[in-house]
Amino acid sequence: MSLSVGDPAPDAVLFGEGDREQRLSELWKRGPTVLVFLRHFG
Amino acid sequence: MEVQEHHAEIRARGAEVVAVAQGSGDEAARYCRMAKIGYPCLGDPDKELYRLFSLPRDGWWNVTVKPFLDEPGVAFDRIRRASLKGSLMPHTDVLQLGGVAIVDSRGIVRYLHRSKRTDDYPPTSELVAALDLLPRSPSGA
Repeated sequence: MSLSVGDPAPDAVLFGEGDREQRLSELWKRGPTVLVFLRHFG
Repeated sequence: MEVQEHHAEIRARGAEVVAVAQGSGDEAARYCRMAKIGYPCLGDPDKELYRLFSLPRDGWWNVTVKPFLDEPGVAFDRIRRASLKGSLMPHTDVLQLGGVAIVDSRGIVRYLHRSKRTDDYPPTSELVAALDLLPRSPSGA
């Protein structure tokens, strides 16, 4: 079943430059977070 | 993508904008520099978050041929700006579509837009409206 508005966001780990780990919950605990998922190649 | 030009308006509402790109952290940073994205950029090497948010993939025809039939000038300009060297990294899935999600300070998804086409991103006004609907916590987030 796909994620919907009102569901808890997945607390995944993404990577910054130098492969620094960034857990998503650390972002949204600081305040609302707008995640812009890019599509590559234009 | 309008949010690139107007992300200050989003930040003015106490929200942070973060780009999620395919690839490692270094690949994502390089892609975002190339695309002149002015906010933090994080890499999703296995596209796990794309999958968890159920962001769709499009077909080869829609991604590679249809844009040139519909608006050839726009399509050629996008290819020129995208730069093959920057875009075709090992982890690049050119069929993967994008999207936008807003997560509140409690970790709840409050807005979700799954792109239906390669150029389908919501206007900043829609994101600002969604942010304005978020409940205010005592801390203001």
